[in-house]
Amino acid sequence: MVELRRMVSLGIPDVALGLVLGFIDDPRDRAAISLVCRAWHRADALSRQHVTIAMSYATGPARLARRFPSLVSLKIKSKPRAAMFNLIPHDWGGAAAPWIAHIAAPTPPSFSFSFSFDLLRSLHLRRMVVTDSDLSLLLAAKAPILLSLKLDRCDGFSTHSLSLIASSCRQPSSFALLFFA
Amino acid sequence: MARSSTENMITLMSSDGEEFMVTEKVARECTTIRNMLEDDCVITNIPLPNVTSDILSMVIEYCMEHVAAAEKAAAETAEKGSSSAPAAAKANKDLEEWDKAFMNVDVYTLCDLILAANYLNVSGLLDLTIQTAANLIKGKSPEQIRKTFHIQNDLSLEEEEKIRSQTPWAFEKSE
Repeated sequence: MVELRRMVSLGIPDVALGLVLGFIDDPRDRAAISLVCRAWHRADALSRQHVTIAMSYATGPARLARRFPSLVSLKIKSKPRAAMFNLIPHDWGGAAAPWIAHIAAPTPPSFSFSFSFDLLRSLHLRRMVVTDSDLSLLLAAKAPILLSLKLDRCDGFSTHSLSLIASSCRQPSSFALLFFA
Repeated sequence: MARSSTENMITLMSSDGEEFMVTEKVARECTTIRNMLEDDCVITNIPLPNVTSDILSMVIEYCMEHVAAAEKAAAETAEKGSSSAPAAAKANKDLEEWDKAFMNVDVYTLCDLILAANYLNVSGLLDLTIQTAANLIKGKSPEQIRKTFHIQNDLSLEEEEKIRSQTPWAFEKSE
């Protein structure tokens, strides 16, 4: 039996691979794993829990949710670093709206994958434009399950959103507003 | 549950029909077996249809070593009244060395051990084997991983290119 398996080389059984991938979260290792073969690509896609998107226009929310249906934590960066020194035009872009609209949308019942990041517990937006309506939409849909929300060097919202955040965070959760520059 | 002095023997039967006699204490290292024993104390013969004899003998070897180490530590503590920190540290280090030597196996055996440790629920062995396998993957290129685990690449060039081009953003290290 064992010898036969060695000859045909079936690689690691799925169960064992799933257990091992739970111990690997460095994005570079994950990137290598996704290129090993089809089975490993699938195993990585299903088990990846965190993704950092270095540039929000590099991909879209639908494509991201399709490839990584189990995401627990998501970090999206948008404007380049130069924005901190007023070197980027004010209307450069970097709106969080398309992402938040997708995250807040309910998963259609016919979808077999997590269309709207059903498992997402932590959202970190960096150098993006987040409006009051984005935040009210996000909180209305996700406040009960979102444990951590970071608006890191973001702009576009008012104190109205802050009071909304304060009143909707009922369970022990962390909320961070980070301002620098 | 303090029945350690009564050395009940238990027979574990592998998938290929080989029988292994072990003390109840050793068998209890496997949470799956411990649960069976606690449900019904009179079981003395346990068939394990998911585990082959060569893998089962390794699991038993691991459990015996760890039970012996725990007993030795307990005996020393009882003798001196209190545990001496340097001796305990040395014993821990010895056991770690033993674990390391125990993990000197080929990847097929390693994978079988992961599955057996998972099925029998031996938490120490499960952590050890998974960590060992994870270390074989970390820091390697896809080609090196394929070589290590004897995997055939069934991705076409186009598929590979698509995965690469789709995910430059996913490479970034999280802070």
